[in-house]
Amino acid sequence: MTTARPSAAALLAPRNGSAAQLRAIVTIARYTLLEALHSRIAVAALIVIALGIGFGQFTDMLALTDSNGIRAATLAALYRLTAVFLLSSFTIASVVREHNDKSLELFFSLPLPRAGYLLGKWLGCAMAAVVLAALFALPLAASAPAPAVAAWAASLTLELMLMASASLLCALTFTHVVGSLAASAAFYALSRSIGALLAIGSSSVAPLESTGFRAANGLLHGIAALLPRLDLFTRTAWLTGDASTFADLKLVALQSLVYTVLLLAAGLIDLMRKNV
Amino acid sequence: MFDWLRQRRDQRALSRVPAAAWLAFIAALSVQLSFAMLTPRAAPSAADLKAPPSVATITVASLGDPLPAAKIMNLLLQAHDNQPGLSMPFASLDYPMVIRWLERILELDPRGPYPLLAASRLYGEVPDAARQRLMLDFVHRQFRADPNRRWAALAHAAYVARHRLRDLDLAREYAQSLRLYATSTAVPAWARQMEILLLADMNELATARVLLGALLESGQVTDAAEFRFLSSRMSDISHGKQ
Repeated sequence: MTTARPSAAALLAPRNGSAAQLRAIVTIARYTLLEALHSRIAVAALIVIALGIGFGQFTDMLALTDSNGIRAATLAALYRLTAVFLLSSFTIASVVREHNDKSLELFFSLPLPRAGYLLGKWLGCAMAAVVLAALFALPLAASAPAPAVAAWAASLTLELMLMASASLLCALTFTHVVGSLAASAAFYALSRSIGALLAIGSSSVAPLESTGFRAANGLLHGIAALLPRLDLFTRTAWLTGDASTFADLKLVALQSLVYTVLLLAAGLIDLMRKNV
Repeated sequence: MFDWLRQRRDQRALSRVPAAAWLAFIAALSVQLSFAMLTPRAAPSAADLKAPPSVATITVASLGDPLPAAKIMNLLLQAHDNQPGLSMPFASLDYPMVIRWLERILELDPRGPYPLLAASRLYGEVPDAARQRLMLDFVHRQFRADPNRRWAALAHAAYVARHRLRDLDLAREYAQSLRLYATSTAVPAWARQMEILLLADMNELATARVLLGALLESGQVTDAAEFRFLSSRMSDISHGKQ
């Protein structure tokens, strides 16, 4: 895998002042985006897009009716999962490599606040999120109305930015690829499925008199409150016309903003405690 | 793992973290908790119960291993009973749809006891004769597919037909099926002789006591949750609850 890393000279050029720090952050972001492109996630995305289009043609041949709906729904689910996997794995691999080859120590020796490194890294991943969301949304334009596809792409961008923040936090905390990927995947799966778990717990045959059940149910509700409402994000029903798009998008934007700030603040706390 | 723990132990003290970082974290956490409270998740209602996915869809979605999906579907189906303003569970459910779900679960997990237990003892006990008959008929049909494993559900269906629907002919039909088809030695003798029990001049409570008591004492109920559930049903019947 080819790596792109900002040279010390590039970061050291601006020495003082908030404008200089801002330039350093932008430099880290730019090099993170370049690293993402060099790590071939765009190529992987294009391969999945091509496979998806092929699969769409296959379902078109089989479907008796609603072929657009079937194609849009299957491709949207495949593309969303692929985008999340690609961006999370890139983010984690990038941070862990910087930790292992001591680039992180080099960054911290420069006159750049640690928050600047975190912000630059996140900004680079966010730009990669925009590229990925645009790439994956394009083929859906043939199967769904343009406004719905635009909303889906915007929501996917926000979902990817949130997952990039979660992956950054996991990578900074665990500094290990497998552990970070597992934690990130568990976070994503739980955030998307916690609604179903809560629903199961609300059954009328649930043993409400049992202290153990009440404690477990309370714990589940507590975890649900701490997790982002990813079930609101990038809904396939927008593409098939089964749900209103733009009303949901405001909530998605608000949740993405709040949770991204929360994850970055947690990441910053962890970064400030690192003894490097 | 140990390296990681050592790294965590050697971290700087929490007091070295700038106040602004803590402030941002606490503020974002507070907003997240408020967001969670202001956007409650809707509990599944009876009206939300749509047609179950096909076996092929479930198999694909579960990456070729549909059994765990079938087990989870039992719990998901059971959750669709919330009816704002009504206290009677399951009464507003679309029963033909519930039966489609139960059939689908049995297709995926034919040896699983859950769908028939739910059909006979949850959905089959709503105080609505039409719905009860639908569910009892479902139990009877499924019993014929595997009588020696599914006899307990039909035995309970016979009891419901006799004492809830007061349809002695239907109860005898089920009891006859038990006698004719549940022929394995694993099936207790009392189940094959249910016709005698149904014809005897016993009231509902006495019959339930005999049937449930025999079932619990037979040692065939090995699952602790099922034992608890059946015991609580016994207690409900004793206290006159349905």
